[in-house]
Amino acid sequence: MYAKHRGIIIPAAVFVVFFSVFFGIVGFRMSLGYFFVYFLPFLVFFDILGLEKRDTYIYSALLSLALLSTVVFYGGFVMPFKIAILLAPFTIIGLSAGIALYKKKKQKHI
Amino acid sequence: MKVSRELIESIAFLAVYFSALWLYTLPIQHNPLPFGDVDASSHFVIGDYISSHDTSIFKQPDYILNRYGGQNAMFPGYIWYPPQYWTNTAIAQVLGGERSLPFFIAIAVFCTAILASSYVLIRSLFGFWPAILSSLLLAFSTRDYMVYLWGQWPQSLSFAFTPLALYSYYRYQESRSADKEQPLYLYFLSLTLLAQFLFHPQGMIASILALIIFTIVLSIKRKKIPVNIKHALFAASVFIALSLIAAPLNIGEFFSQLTSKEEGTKTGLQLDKLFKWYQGIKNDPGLPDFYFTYNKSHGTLKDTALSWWTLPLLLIGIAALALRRTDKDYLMLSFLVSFYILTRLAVIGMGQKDIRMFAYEAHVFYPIIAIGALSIPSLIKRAQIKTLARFGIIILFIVCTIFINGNSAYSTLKSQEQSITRINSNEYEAADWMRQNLPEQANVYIMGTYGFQFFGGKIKWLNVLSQRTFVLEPELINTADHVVVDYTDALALGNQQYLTAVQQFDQSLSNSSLLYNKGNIKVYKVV
Repeated sequence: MYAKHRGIIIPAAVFVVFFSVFFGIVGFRMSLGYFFVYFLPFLVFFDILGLEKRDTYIYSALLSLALLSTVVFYGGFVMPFKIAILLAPFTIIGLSAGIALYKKKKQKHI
Repeated sequence: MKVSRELIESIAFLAVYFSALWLYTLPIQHNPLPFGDVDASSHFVIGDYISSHDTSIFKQPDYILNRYGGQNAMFPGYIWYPPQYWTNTAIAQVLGGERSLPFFIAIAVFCTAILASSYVLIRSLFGFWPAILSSLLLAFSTRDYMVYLWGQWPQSLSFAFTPLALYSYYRYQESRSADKEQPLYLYFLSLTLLAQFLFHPQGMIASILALIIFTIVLSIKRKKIPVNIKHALFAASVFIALSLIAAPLNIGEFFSQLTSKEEGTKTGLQLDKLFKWYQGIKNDPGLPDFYFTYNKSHGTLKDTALSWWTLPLLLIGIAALALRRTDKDYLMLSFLVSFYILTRLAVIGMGQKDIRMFAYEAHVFYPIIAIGALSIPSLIKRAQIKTLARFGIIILFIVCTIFINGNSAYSTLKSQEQSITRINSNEYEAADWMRQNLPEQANVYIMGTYGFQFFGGKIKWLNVLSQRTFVLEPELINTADHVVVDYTDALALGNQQYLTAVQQFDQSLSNSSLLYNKGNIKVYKVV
């Protein structure tokens, strides 16, 4: 997966540098946070669905805004909101791992 | 070293995108304090409450109930939009570690998301040049940066998903044409529509109508229904189920809004509006006149002859699409026709809603303008001259975009850095003091802040920043137990009459106890 998506590292680095230059530590924290909390978990999730690279990127970048916020919002009722932000990406990655394992098992049976 | 075409294209897009982001963040690069008119602050308040209290909420905070309590007609006192947009702003505040700047950085990113989705759609339909040129033009779209400055932020993000919805559906159709049907794209379409519903249903309506028109066209062209009914029903079920889970308090509100008639709008047929692009709309109380003038909306705010430069290209683009009539051309034409229908709702008496639909005009027009420009060389027969003409047009297009549209966008956004309509540092500090020191149930009356006479945008900002109820309505003034006297705006404007009025009001409070006196702002406790 890393080999397939390593091209994303440069645009992600530009994103972080841009915000750090213009907004200092706030920009740095936000851009890095966006990458790890929103983009990366959904990149992992959508990647296992077998989408093309370009599609994986655009869906991860945009749909994560709706999907991750839903997970965090509901999480915020049962735990502190800040903890929900921390746990939501792991939930998505865990779900992705579950689906990947299920797919692998199914393929073995076939 | 061989550089791939894909890499060059990616660099070009990133250059355009980051230029747009730089432009959009001009108002906050040296001034992180809030901006946005009318109800902009209402998109701050819920996320701000969530992040500051470290908990999610369905119920509105008490301090905005007198203004927004009735907004959710089905569940009064509960949040009136789905929570996702505001949750994102709350997450931004937590990630950024501050209240104001992270919120506005997130807003700038959301408002420029249209560049990415539009680029992906047009790149996949018409190739690199139409995609990059239309994205460049979109970076300077007056419609879009005005929506950003005014504060209709959820609407802006929702419209950014429309090109993605069209893209998903087109990819599905493409896979069907190649006899390799990929229902996955249909499911991504339902997720995209879900995102639109969660951010603002207007974007979802725009997508659905364009998709319906495109499907009708394909049905006629292929003489069969172009979707697998089983897959479509599954995608629709996913959409409905996830909408109910993600926004349980807002589904009913959406349908009630959709079917309600606005007060004060004319009913009955107004067929003349079918033949006027801007329907002769002027003097709308919520929007300035330039919003309904082509050259100012799609050229420059200065009324020059050059500001019309995109109009002939738009007409050529429409003609090119109508003459070629391939599936991708039909998709763009469906987008245009759906926009025309949705901005003509006044014909059937739904005038208020169609005015708001003009917000995504540039998203439809600019790709067609780029297509129009790039189709001009096809009239030339000789291959060599054709190539030269193509590059000449591309250079001219870039020059016009930057020096006409870009110039106007830059001066407008730069001028917002220090605007009287923004919260100033003294006001921000006073609001924060109130948040920390006044009782939670305090009712605050304010005098002197710009717009205090009509509960203007700044008053609403102070209301949400202080997290205290502000009462300005005549019938509620007697309930005020605290009074804020704000000299800062009168001093900044240098208006003596304004200043005298504030001083006279201040003197009338001599029997009240002064709790705060800093930066030309006073807070009194009144009995």
